Amino acid sequence: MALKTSLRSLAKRIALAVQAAVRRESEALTKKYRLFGTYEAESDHISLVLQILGDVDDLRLYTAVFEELRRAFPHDPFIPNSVGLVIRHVSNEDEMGAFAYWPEAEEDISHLLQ
Amino acid sequence: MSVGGKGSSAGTLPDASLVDLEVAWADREREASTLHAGGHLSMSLALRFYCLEIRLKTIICKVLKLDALPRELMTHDLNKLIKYTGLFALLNDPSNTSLKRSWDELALFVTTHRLDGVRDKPEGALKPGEYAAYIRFFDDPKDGVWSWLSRLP
Repeated sequence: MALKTSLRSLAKRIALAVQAAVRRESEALTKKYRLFGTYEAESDHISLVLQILGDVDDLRLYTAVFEELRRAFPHDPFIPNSVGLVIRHVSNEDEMGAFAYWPEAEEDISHLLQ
Repeated sequence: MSVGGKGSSAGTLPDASLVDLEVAWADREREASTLHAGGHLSMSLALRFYCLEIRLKTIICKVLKLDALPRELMTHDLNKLIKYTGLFALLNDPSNTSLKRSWDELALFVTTHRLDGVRDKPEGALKPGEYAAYIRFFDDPKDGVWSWLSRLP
């Protein structure tokens, strides 16, 4: 299944999975984060950038996100397998902002992930 | 079509034969080492990405038993290439989470054109610590993508 056909609903489920992972791995529900994403048609792939405020164990959070994604799409492993994630720490809220490097040619789905 | 021949069949690229690709990734790797030794970190890092791309294309030719790269795969998109290597499921196996994390960092560097920025701008475009960070994503003995590919049969 091409991800493109259901990007809006996929993005919502992905956002909820990331939210669940952040809650699991951060001490407080108030841990601030922003999620950015792009859909790349050529590879049928979704790239995510998770900006998070403060210290979190990157690998634990990364692992938690993919556990939640697999839980969210139990019958379609192609979907979590077609998601990439990088985690970027910010030290204060002012540093949280648009991810500067998205290529114009790709489809920015950040608004669907909020 | 035989493996190892000069590719000229319809749908493949004669300029990207398996024989040439196999030599090319090893050549680019040596060149990257030479540039690193000379302190030219930006171009050294850029060549490591080209190494990876070419090595994936080599694997694809072998898996598909083609003597040259299919035209459809003449791309720099690592996330597209990996899907044709036969390694996609292995990369995404939960036991390989750290490896996948390294992969995602490298793939995003290409997707977001950071590689172009490093290649096309003065050496200062590479932020402090960035070279070492990305080299770890390639060469970490346990979780590096290049190390992983080198361990495969």
